[in-house]
This record gives sequence, structure tokens and C-alpha cells, in this order.
Amino acid sequence: MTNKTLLKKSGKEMREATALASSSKPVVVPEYRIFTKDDSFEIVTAMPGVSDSQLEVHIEDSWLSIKGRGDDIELDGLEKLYAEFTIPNYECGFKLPDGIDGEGIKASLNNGMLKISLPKAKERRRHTIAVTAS
Amino acid sequence: MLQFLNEVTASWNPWKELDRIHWELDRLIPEAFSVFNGSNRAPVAVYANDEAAKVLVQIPGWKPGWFDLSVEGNKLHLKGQSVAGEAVGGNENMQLSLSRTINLPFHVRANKIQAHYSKGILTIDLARSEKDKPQKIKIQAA
Repeated sequence: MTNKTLLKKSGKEMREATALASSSKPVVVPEYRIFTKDDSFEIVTAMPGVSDSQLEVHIEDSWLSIKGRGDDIELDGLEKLYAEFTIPNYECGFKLPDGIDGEGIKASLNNGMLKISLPKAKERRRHTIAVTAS
Repeated sequence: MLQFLNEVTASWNPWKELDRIHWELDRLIPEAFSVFNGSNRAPVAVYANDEAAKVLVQIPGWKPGWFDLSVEGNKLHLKGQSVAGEAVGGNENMQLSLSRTINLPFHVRANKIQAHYSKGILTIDLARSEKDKPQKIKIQAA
């Protein structure tokens, strides 16, 4: 099983399909990485400005969808001098490969970093085969 | 024909498209910064009025104790370094660092600075120094 089987929908497709498109904020695909371990896959996405109450992670028909609503910046009467970033809404999706143990999927959000752990089914995990001398 | 064109364009909002383009352009400058490559130049945003300033730093996956902030006149020094093995997000072995100096529009009061880190955004609230505020000059009649 390789990372190539985890496909990403384009940001435009996700915007058209979801209610987040009705928000005044742009909807963008967050920066992400996929890591392969012996017994699991890990998807890590950077979604600064999103709290756990504004985050939705769903799996349906082998499709993992992630939606996060970014906070509004409280300006308190201040004016923008310059901004190298703003806080958008985030959205992305991944087609999960076969051989994922759906019961063991875990997600955690830590200071804007979402980590989703997808355990491999036992038959997909790496097994070491002992070699005996003949 | 006119009715068909109206139906096609009804779902396309040019203002939302401009917002998205604006967001993408804002990202272009610090595009080299990535939470996954250990770059030390995190994107910042600066807001201010005559009395106060607010600096936001987009730097997800850090811990509050990693930051080292200091002020010198109208310069805000942002520094920080992760603790080995504690980085979040699959980068446990990577050394994360931060090093930037922000030029503020005025000198600030060092004892009136508040900083907090939440949801991957470092927010620093600063107050303008009294000495830096415009002084009114009274005009006396001759």
C-alpha cells in the first residue's frame, strides 16, 4: 500500500459541494503531509486558527473529508498595516486505500495541527519473517 | 439566451473569487515557510492604531514555552526553538526554529505587552509608549 492511493479532491470541487462555500471567507486546501509507518498511515494537516469545535472530520465510503472553520481576527479598532497571512476556512478530502482498520482511526488537534492516525488492518501490517538456517 | 447566461453566472461570485486571490497573494511572500520544512520565517500580520498594535504570527504545532520574545524600541524580536523530540505533526525529529524582527510603527511600553499562543496563532498585544505619543504644543498669544 503506497501513499499514491491517497488522492486529494481539488479545492474547487470541495467548495462547490459544501456549505462552507456560503461563508464570506475563502476556502482553501490546508498544507498537509502523509506519513507511512509500519502499522498505520498518518495524515497531518496545518490548520492554524481552527479550534476543535470548528473542525469536522468525516469518513464515508472510503472518503475522508476534513473541514475547518477559521477564527475571525478581533481587530479591536485596529487597522491592518500589512498581513502575510489571513485565516481562511479549510477543506480537503482523501480517498482511503483498502486495508484500513476503520475502528481504530483517531484524530487529534494540537495548536492548529490536525493529526489523523489510520491504523492498517492486521493483514496489511509489516510482519518480520524469521529465517532459519537449513 | 440571456436567461441561460444569468443562470450560469448566478453561482459564481466574483467577490469571493477576489477574496481567494487576495488570500493566495498574501501567501506568496512567505510561501517558502512551511510547518513541515523547519523554516524559521513564520508569516506575520500587523494591525495598529494611534494607541496600540497587535502582531499575529501564524506558527502551528508549537508550544508556548518554545518562544523567546523581546522588544527594543520599535522593534519586536520573535525567536524560538523547539525541544528535540517534541515537535508536533510527524516532525518529531525536526528542529523547529523562529527568527524574525518586526518593525512597529512606534515605540512600545515594555511593561504593557501581552502575548498568548492558541490554535497555532501567536498573538502579541502592544501599547504605544507615552514618550512616543504626539505632544500638543500650546500657542500663547503675543
